[in-house]
Amino acid sequence: MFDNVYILIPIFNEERKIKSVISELLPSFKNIVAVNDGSTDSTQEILESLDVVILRHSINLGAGAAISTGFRFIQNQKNAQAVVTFDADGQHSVEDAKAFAREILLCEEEVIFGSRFIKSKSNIPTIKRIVLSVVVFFTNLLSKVNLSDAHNGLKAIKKTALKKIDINIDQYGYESQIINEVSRKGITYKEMPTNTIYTEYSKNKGQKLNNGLIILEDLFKSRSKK
Amino acid sequence: MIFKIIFISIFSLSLIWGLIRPFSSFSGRWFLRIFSVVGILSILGVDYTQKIAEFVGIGRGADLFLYLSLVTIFLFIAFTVNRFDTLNRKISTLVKEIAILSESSSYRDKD
Repeated sequence: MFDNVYILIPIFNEERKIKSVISELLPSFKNIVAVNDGSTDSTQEILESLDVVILRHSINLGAGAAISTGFRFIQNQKNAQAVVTFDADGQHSVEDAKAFAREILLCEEEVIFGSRFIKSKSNIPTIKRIVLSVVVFFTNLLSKVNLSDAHNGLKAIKKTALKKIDINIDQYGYESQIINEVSRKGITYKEMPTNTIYTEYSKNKGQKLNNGLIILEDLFKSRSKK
Repeated sequence: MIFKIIFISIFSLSLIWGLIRPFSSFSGRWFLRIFSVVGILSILGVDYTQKIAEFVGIGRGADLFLYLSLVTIFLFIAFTVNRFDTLNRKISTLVKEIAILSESSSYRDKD
């Protein structure tokens, strides 16, 4: 049971999956922070029935804003040593989260990025893989990093690094901004493989492919907001 | 004649607005003033705008007015978008702050 590694879950309208996702995490993680990003379904009621910390945005701002809120909250928790970000749609496995939590406590690097391209490439739908490759190419080029995946929701960050990472992009482009901040501020990082579970539900809930263009736009924005 | 009066009234009002508006940006205010003056001049007599256009190196008075109009419109759009961005950032900060403040306290209550 991890009590000094917090799980951070940004949530928007996940009434169908959130209970099972959190229930699977609870036996392994004592501290789960759920950021309800202005959900209009019964997500809030479900969260209130679970043993988690709930941070509630009164309006929907975006995944980046939810992560930013969670980071700020966890920074102020005395017992927190690191955070693992986890998607609410059931794409990630608890085993991966535990592996990330173990590794972030042991390794020297301050950030661990999850990568879908190290282990199970065949798992990713073809069109999504192509779009992700383009985004990864530009992210590596513009942020001067060497990553195989740029927009994986599963990542682990030490508390010391949380204080250095400033997120001001509210939507999906925050992932690029984190990478940009890591590069710009010389934060050490590495990658670990993740086993992403693509179900019909997670495909519909996840990032749409045309978001690739928005992400690239946000990447340029994040560079201009230095 | 009636249209001349209407347009002169509109440009006069925009000139007054450009002079008294306290919270407008510096450049936006000046563009409004210049745009309004050129507008009034173009209605009162084409010769005036023609002379100004020649003075600044633009061929015709109508062209000068067109250029100023386009610049004013683009500046207005740019400033408006910028204001929306600023407003969004403020709202975002406020929502995040409220989320942390309200839930931090209930979290402490649980302990």
